[in-house]
Amino acid sequence: MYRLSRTIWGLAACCGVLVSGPAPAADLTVTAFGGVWEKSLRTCYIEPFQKQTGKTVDVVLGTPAQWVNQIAANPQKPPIDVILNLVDGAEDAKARGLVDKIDPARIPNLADVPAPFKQVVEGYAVAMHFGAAGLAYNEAKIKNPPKTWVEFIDRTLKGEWQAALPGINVASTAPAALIWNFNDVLGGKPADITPAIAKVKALRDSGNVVFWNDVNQFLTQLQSGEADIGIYWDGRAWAARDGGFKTLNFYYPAPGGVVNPIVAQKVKNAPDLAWEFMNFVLSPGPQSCWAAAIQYPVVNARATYNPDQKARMPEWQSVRWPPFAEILANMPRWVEMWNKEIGR
Amino acid sequence: MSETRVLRQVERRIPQALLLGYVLVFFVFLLAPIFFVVLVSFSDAAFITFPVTDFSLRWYYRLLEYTPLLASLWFSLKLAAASAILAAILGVPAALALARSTSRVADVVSTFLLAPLSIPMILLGVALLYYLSAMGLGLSFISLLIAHTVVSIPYVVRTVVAVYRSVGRDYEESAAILGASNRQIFTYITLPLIGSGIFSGMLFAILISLDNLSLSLFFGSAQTNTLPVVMLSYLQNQFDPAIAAIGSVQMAIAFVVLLMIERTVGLEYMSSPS
Repeated sequence: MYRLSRTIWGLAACCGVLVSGPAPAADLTVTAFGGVWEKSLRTCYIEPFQKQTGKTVDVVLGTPAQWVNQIAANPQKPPIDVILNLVDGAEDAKARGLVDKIDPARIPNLADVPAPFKQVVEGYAVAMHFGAAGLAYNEAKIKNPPKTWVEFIDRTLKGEWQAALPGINVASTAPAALIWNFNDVLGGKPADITPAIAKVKALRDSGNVVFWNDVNQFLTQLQSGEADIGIYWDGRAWAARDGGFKTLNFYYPAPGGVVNPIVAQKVKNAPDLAWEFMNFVLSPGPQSCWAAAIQYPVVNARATYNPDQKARMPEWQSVRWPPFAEILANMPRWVEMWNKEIGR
Repeated sequence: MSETRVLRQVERRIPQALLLGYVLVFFVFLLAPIFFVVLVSFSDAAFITFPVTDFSLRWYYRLLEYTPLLASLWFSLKLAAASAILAAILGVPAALALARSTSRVADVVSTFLLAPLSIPMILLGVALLYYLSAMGLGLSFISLLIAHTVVSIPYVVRTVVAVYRSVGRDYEESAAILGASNRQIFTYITLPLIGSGIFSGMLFAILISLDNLSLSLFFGSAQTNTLPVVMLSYLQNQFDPAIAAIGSVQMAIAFVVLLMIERTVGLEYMSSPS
């Protein structure tokens, strides 16, 4: 009985600890991906913005699907004001009527942003930085990497190396950087991806390909020797090389890398401060800081880079732009076809 | 000693040795991943790699530097404890009624209470997000607590029903005959008898809550982010041993809590009927 009393009092004490008042809501809430992304966002954008305006900004960590659904569940009083989003998440937000069209009058810094970055998602988003998918390879094992995407496919089929390709679960990579990319270089159209699927199937059956379903799994495959070369993102590849994977190299095979921008969107019913924040995000000083922090090229033409970093970055004119809206519209069919034919 | 006798002794010991070997292999299989996580957390490399060649505490310092990891761990612990307590408050009375009921309605109610276990958590998360938002709760600790309690109640109900059914009615009937009130019967007879079931159910509830990603994902906000959500977001951008470090810290906390329970109340008391 004494032990039971002690247990009950212990639980009651726990309840006292658990009951704590909520933190006061900030003036603005923006989204962020975790780790160095969030840390850099705070350093380059949030802290300077707070200092300049005297307003407070909260950060929500998570994923685009989470953020879009949270806004959709609370459209009149959205819990998020500015979404920093992937393109497919941005298309989804636009399709569900959750975001405002970008108003150039509210974002003067748009004048320094090239047109393609302003036309992403039919004007309902503006890119803040971009990356491009290319080929990452172990230069200790491959001395003569393929010069074109078609050459990469052909030499993989011949068995010159073990290649790593993104599986369908990698929603940020497989649809654009693999399916659309292969289909495009093989002469196909988004409405008919038979050429790409046939090639991926042949690659799978050749035994010379492994699939990765997590962006970190690719690095593990190359480190372990399970793969020698594969489709990957520039910023992540360079970060891995700088982090210790010294034999990892990266480049864009012809006709070019496949672009994937991170975009900013202003949520409907969010306060006007959101426009001010987006304008701040696109200003040259913070953009230069952002580029140095995350090692991806930014969109403001007046941003500056250190020379080593600049040498690694693609020119925006040289990257290939997938038709994101068309890809999103065709995704259910693509996924079904992939699951039937490839199954990885 | 004759040769035959020695052979017989060896024959008798072979099954024991095989069983011991099997148990050892089983535990190595079970514990090896945990061991590797802790080992990798002390790596000096910038990304997760094995074998570990250089050791360092840098990734534990990273936990202090990247505050969302520790902040979300503390939040997850509070949420897990709160949802376990709320699940016990709601689940125990239901379990007591169901365990003694012979009505067919009780079977239906019992199935209904266990339903959250059969629904994919991600579907439950989306549904609860829209439902609780429509009720005006939005993204808050309360809505997250409700979501976690919904999936914790089945565990409490199941364990308490199982323990209560194994205990005869005699003790309660005897107490009633001797003049004890319903409150006294519950406090001095029933509660001690089902204590082990409540403890086990709450422990399951805490583990389910701490580990829950699919449900917590849709309720994440600047003030209500749980550790699994922060870890997922971190992993999508970085694959360094900081994740192994926070995992090791989480395991250490669980170990310390169990040790504290053992020293104060006694695990044996909590896990076996009085």
